[in-house]
Amino acid sequence: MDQQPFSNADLERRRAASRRLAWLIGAVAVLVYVVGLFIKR
Amino acid sequence: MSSITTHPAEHHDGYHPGGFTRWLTTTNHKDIGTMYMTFSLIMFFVGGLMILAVRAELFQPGLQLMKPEFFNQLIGVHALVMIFAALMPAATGFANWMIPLMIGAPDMALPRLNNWGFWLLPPAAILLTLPFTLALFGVGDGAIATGWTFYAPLSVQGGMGVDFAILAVHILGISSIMGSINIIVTIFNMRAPGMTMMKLPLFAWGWLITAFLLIATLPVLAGAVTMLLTDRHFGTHFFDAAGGGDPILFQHLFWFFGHPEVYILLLPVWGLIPHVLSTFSRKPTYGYKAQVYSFIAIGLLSVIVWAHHFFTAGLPVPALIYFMFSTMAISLPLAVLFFCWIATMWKGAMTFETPMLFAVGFIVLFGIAGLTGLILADVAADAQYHHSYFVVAHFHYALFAGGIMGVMTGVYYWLPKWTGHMYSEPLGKLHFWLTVVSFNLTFIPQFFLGLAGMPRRIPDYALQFAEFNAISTVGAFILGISQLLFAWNVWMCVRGGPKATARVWEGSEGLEWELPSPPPHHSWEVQPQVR
Repeated sequence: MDQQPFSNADLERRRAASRRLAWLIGAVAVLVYVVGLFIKR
Repeated sequence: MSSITTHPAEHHDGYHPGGFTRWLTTTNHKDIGTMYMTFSLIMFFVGGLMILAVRAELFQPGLQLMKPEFFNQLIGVHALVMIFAALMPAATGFANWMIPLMIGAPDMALPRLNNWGFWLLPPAAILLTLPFTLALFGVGDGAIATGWTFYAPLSVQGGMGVDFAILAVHILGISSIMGSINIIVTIFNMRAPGMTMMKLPLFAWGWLITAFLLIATLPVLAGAVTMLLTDRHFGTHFFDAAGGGDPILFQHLFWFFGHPEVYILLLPVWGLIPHVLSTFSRKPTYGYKAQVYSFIAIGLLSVIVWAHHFFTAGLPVPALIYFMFSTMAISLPLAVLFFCWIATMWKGAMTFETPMLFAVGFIVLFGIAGLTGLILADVAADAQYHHSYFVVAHFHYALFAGGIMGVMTGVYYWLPKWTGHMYSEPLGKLHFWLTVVSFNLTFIPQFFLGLAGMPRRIPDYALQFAEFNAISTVGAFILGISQLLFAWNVWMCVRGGPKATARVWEGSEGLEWELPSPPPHHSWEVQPQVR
């Protein structure tokens, strides 16, 4: 069984990737909201 | 699966404030999960009290206790509180507590966002309920009285309570989107080595689909209620027919969110039920991949069926046919889930501790929700049942028996892991039986009331509906009072009780059971390896 402590570098890499993805998803959510405001029939 | 050692004495930070500051500033996923669960329980009782007042009014025909306006407010705020402030926070509480433990992560990926997401909830709940208090002091005319659906033009013309509710829904939506983003990035980026997506616990899969649904649909709801706000105060006419707008547009926008919302409430529960069934049947989950693909299929289908909520609004026939068949198509992946749940129990060494009782009760009662949903999905039948008590009974089988009983399944299942203590099993079983019996006593009569033609959202009714309403009210009060047993059992378990082992249940499998009960402050300090 391979066990090793979380290294700071690994955690920081994961969290940086998480931040990038979070901003992307947040931007998509805002985009849907703004597009929704311009719906016209 | 894996084994693990931890170093409970080694914390990365030495800052552990006490008292309220701890809860206000915490970024620990377990603390935040606890806050979500506590908030949810409090709001569950707030929403429950509102509907008990409604049921008391409906105990007999005529107006006894309240004016119709107040009755309408109670119904609308009951639904908003139960959906946005009780059920959704409970699911987010589970996610916060369990996803890092289940996937071998030290915490959620974005802990400060997590804290912010929770602390938006209390102000939103206050905004929802404040108009009741303000009305007592002669300010405004009470809370939102449109029902939880905000339908225009009623909501365009409504009082100040509509504005409070619009603001509250915006804040609740932002909170849910923050939580969803955090859950998605945590699942994608924080999994233990070896935990591929097809080894992800089903609970995490259920939540992943939920999170995507929330991000896809909540901005649409926010857009719709913002348009409503501008119609009310800034001279636009999105939903005002007199100005060239269209009230049906609001229904499309609302239900584009509203129908996926049903699955948003249910998918986390569908994710946790297989864990419970597997544990107490002492068998691996049957059909893991089939369940994952069913979650995905239900998530996709849920965003293309919204108009079945307003079949009677005068949609064109091709649209009626499309929405009828697409709605019925959801029963296929749902049937796969039911099959897998039953097959997991098949020939298992089953025992019926409280979580298992709730899980089996969930399957039976949620099955009734599914079958009555098929009836409502039929355009011709829906012409009769729409806006009747049949619909009220149907969605309470979905959201109480499916949602809240599912949450109770999870609470009893994971409570010993969270607190380190065992709850009272006799009290848990008593709570289960009282809940199941009184729930059916409350809502079976409502099916008959609906079939007989009693419309929903009315404070007074014709004499022929009196007996079933009286029975339903008695059931509702027993149901409400028996939930105090649940709160008492949870409270006593938090305070003490027999020590829980790390594994808690004989048949439990998964990373979360490798950690001690309760888990250390930093959940995983050594990376577990999943094989």
